[in-house]
Amino acid sequence: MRNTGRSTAAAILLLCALSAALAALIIVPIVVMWNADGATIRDSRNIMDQAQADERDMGRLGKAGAQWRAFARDDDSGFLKAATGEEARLNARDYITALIEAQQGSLSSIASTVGPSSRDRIELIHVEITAQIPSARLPAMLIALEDEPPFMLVESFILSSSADDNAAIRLKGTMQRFERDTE
Amino acid sequence: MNSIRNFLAWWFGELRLVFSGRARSPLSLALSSKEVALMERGIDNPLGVVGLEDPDYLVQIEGLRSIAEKRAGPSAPVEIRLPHDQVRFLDLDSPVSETGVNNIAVRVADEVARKAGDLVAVPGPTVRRPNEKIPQVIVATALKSTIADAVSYARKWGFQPLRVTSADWPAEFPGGPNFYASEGRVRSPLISRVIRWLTLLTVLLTATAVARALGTRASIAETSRMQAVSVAPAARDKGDGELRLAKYAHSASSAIEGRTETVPVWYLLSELAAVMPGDVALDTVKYQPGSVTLEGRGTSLDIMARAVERSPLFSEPRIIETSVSSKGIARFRMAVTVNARGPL
Repeated sequence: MRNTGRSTAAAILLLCALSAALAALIIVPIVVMWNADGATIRDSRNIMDQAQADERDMGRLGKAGAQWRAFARDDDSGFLKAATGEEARLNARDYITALIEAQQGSLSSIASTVGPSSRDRIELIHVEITAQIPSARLPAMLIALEDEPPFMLVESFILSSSADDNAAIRLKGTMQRFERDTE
Repeated sequence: MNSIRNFLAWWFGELRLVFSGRARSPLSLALSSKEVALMERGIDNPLGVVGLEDPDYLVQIEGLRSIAEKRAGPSAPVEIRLPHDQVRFLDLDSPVSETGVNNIAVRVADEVARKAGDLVAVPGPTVRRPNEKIPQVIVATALKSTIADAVSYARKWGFQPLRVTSADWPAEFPGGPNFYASEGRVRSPLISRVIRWLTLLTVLLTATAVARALGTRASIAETSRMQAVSVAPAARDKGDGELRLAKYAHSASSAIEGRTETVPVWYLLSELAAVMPGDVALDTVKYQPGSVTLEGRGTSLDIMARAVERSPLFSEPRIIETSVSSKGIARFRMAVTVNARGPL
């Protein structure tokens, strides 16, 4: 026989402790699973967001690339239109000759060579010309040469006046050919 | 094995009492033939003892009631403990029942040689005794008259008897026998039952919701993982694409950039023409990147030098050579620094 001994408080305390342990036993794996799934979802969404951003960027790049290709094909890009460097050299000679003759000038000599450039796809056409042009038509000739495509970039020149109202000009410059995509 | 069974019997018994919804008092009134003691129920700490043979025992009992009122409330609710000699605990072969061949009252009456109608028998837990083949039911028994007297005296002294039990009981008998229980309840059995079912329903719904949430989340996680795996390779060439585009753009803008970085000849000549004084004639203009050399004739060379210097395109005019010809006209050679590139 024993007295009332064990208290109700002890029974309730034991129930609370057991409930807490049971809850922990259930809740901890649930929380772990919840967090693990959350991490997976977060990571996956980050990857998908990144992929979407990359896709947008790729689209933007594609669009920008198309615009640049269109620009490179356009006359305003300032390049000589030719399939090869040699063709470009001959085109440059013809172009300059025609330009000088259009201004009633006479070409004394023209030399041209093809050389590489530090930029991809670019070939430089080095041109050296000696010509006589009426002084009054010199500005028009120079503007056409430098400001209208294909552009010539003048590196040096010597301009001399003469008594017959003609200007003698020796000019060194470069023109450029762009290697376009084969489409 | 028995100790585990005893422990569980005690524990579940205590909890059953706690959650039964019956009012419980923190105090117990222990009766015996010679004295009455008021005790704290859980720990059996005596708060006061009154000898029934004392001349002023009623006054002293009133003192106990006053203590009980302060401790347990205005009606002084107490649990009544019958003395040891008024309660017997018996082991009966299981099973026991209220009626039929296993009628508990009849079997107890047989054991204690009393009439069944005089007794109150309270069955307790079933235990397995080492020397018994059949599991034994612990039964507590007391005389009905004893119980009625205890309740009657308690009421007479101003206490509210919530239940009647024994002074002590076997360890296997959780909470002790309940010979009498007042109808006073903390809440009705119906509410208790509703609360129990609602609690169960809440637990079930919570468990279902948690399981469903976990399942859904796991499914979303798996779906998004699969999607991530399927979309990941799409971004492979972004870096290369950017590099290719940058190189292409760098090249495609080459001619335009070159044009803007050099001084156009026409601009340089037009600027010279604009700054030359009227009495100066240029015979030769030589241009190298960064400088221009002028050769010509004129009278006002100082004015020309100052005019050249005022131009934003030129600076540092330097007369390199001069010679005076007839009629005071000077031939000159002048070097000028070219500052900037021409118009875009």
